[in-house]
Amino acid sequence: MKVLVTAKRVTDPDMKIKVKADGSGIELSGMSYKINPFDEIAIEEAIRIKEQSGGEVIVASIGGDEAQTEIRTGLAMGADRGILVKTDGDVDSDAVARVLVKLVEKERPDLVIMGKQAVDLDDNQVPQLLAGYLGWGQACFASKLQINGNTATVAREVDGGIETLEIDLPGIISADLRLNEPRYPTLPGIMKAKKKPLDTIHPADLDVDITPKVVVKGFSNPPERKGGRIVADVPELLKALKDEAGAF
Amino acid sequence: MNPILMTLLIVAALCLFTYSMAKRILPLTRMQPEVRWDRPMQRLKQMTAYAIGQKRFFHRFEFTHGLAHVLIFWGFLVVGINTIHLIGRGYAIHWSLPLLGDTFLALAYAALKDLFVILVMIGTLIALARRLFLRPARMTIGWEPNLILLWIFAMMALDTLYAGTLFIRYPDLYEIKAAFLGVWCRSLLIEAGWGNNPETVNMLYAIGYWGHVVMVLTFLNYLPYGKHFHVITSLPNVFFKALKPKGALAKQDLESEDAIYGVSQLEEMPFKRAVDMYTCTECGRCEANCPAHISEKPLSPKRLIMDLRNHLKKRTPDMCHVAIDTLKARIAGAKPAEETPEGEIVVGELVKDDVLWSCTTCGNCITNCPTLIEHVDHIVDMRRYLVQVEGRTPGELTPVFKNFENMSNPWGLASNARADWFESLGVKTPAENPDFEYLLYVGCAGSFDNRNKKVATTLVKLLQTANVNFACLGNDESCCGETVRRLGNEYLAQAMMEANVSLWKDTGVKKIITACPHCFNTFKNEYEQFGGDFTYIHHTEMIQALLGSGKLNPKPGLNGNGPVVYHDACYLGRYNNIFEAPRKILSRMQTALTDVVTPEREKRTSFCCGAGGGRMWMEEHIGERINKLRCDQLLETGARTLLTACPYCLIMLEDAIKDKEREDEIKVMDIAELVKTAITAP
Repeated sequence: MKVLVTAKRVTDPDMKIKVKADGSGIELSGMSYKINPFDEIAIEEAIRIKEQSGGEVIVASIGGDEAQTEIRTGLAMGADRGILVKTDGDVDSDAVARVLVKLVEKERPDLVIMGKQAVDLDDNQVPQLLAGYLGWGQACFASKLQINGNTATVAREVDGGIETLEIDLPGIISADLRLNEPRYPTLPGIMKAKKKPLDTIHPADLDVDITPKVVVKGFSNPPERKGGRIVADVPELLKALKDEAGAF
Repeated sequence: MNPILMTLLIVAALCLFTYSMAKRILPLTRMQPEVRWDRPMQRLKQMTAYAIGQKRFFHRFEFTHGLAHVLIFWGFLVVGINTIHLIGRGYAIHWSLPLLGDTFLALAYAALKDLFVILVMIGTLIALARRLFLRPARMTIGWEPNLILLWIFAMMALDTLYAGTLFIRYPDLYEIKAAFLGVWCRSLLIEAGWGNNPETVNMLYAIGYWGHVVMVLTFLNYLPYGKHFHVITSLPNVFFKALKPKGALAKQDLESEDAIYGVSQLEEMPFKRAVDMYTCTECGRCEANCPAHISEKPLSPKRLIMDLRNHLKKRTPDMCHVAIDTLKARIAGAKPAEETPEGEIVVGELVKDDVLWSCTTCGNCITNCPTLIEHVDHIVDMRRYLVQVEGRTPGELTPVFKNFENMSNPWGLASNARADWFESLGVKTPAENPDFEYLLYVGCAGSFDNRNKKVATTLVKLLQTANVNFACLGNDESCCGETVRRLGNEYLAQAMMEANVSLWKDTGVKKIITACPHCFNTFKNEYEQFGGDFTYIHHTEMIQALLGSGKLNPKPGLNGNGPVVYHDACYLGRYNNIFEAPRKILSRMQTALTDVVTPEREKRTSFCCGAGGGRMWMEEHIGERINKLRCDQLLETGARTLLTACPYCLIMLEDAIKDKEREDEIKVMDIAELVKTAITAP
């Protein structure tokens, strides 16, 4: 089975995020980056499928040259080859989906697995858009995946329970947190990854116009939380909720 | 005298011995080559101290039986010379080694030899009594060592019988003047009436002589087959001991084509590891001092080495076979076979993963082993295999490695929040203070752990009080890589270490102060592998110097929290011999303190807090908690304040006190904090 997975380069969610003074973006000096954790889960799942039933795993990323690092991470984990679609500046979800459509048409995978969302902007758009453009089935927020020949059974976490779906393949699956625990790459894996093929192409080669349809106007910090205080008894609490917080 | 019989005996014995030794040495050629004979003078020196000088046996916990071994070993050296005489006398009765003819030296030797015959007999009796009656848990008790002890005793007895009868037969021998034991035996024989009967004398002489010779040759041929092989291998094992600093792990070659990323089997080990295995005497000093073993973890350093040795013996025939084939091919001028035959993986099979993960790398095994076996290197090499080749670690370690990799700290906290703790302290970065004399390397614990941030703050205030010109790298500081390396992730550790050295060089760093013994150890002993030749100072040394030069002045009259006990951190004390600095600080503080008490295990014999070797970041779900054991040992002294000089020990001991719900009465402090209370006390 041929599986296409994604590896977005994101600002490390564990870093302290500061909004630039002019609100045009976030402060990127001294920032560290990593592979989107949900994409890492997607890659792990794809490699497990390959380990079980053979096939090929292709890691794709859209971004600058630095995104090769994230592709190499996927290759070190066990993916077979990488594709970097090189872009400068911001690319919105729709453009990403349209680039992926072209990659899918070119590579003809049996399955696309991607992170349910990227942890930098948390848009959660691409898997759904991609399925829409391709006219394929989608199963998002997968917490369990079982391939049965031409179909896939996917358990997805929804509010209050687990919903189990069956989709036809080829199809799109987006990975949730509990799908698996990604492996730590071994040293032979890292060394081999250095020699695995990684192609760089441009959106123009794919005939995709990536001019954003969605433009971010500005960033601002969430309002600072006011400190709490301890009240003496229930009547005082009710009074404070009513008068100060306007809760009712 | 029977030259033909003697020749036959010796030739037979030596042939057999050569065969046995070949069987032991050939497998070593299938292992990894390594130069262990550079700097020979230094090696001879350590051999003199540890092997000839028996340094490790003069241990305060082990005095009597340590002495017993020393007597037997020195006796072997002294009496061994006489064995050469004995064999020579099989050919010519008046033959002797040069200088030991009719000289004063010969007399001195004769007396010394007799003295040691007696001492060896005493030594064997002490050892036998221990094995029969005291049966210490750390030793492997069995009939074999007992038989050997009796064998040695019998050899000494027969030697004495031989000397007594010899002196009756050849009363003109020069050595009689000094050989008091032989003379005593002669008079005993005469008193008993046997000495006057030539037939009896001849018979006893033959028993003494041939008995001794046969026993010696039998013993020699037994050696390669039992734990007494250490009689032969200890000297080379000590000679081959790694000359790297005790606190350094060897830098692994990860670049070359045939690099070995970790040790999973004999063929991947440096040959010295096999000498370690041959040399283990099963004495169990490692085990008796191992925090993992004492807390009922599956690791026993002794068991590990013995298991590997048994495995080596099991694989000896096939390893010898391949070794001989390779040799033949080489002699014939053919290239040795390209494909090396598969060995047999021991990691995960014979040596279980849990055994390897139990080690705190505290170094108690290596500092207690009389024959200088390098247990920690064995363990870390196999961890390297687990992490780097198999990717098989306890689940909780995967996020830890990722944290180190992404955030350069084990907690995975934001690396751009590393400097947050000193925001209001007026600490300058090298950019703000380019003429800084010292770099204060804070380390991950001091930067991120709430308790240790207080220690870092205290240390900063002390340095500021003493007007020390220092800077901190702040958010540019990265983890030292110590834990990552000891967890077996050498690839990541090397990247971290290289990055630190190059940053320090670019920043113009010369002297580095750190409050963490783990950072300190790795800087001092391992960073030279990456060109990091800076001056490294532990904060205890720095504070001691500041107190000594009067830049810090403790005020008397402070009331401490009851008796104070100092806990030696493994990586400060045992690995780096910093015992005096903290103690000098304490004695300088003494006026302000109620009492300083000492635990039974202190200095070199100190006991690990349980956090070393990456154990800090792993679950401790087998056996007792090591931090609790150490805490109990410290509380046994009656101390109410536990002092450390290590952030890991501080966390572990404080956790143990919290588990006991005694945090209100028992204080755990860093030594810097104690100094600070005395400096600011009114």
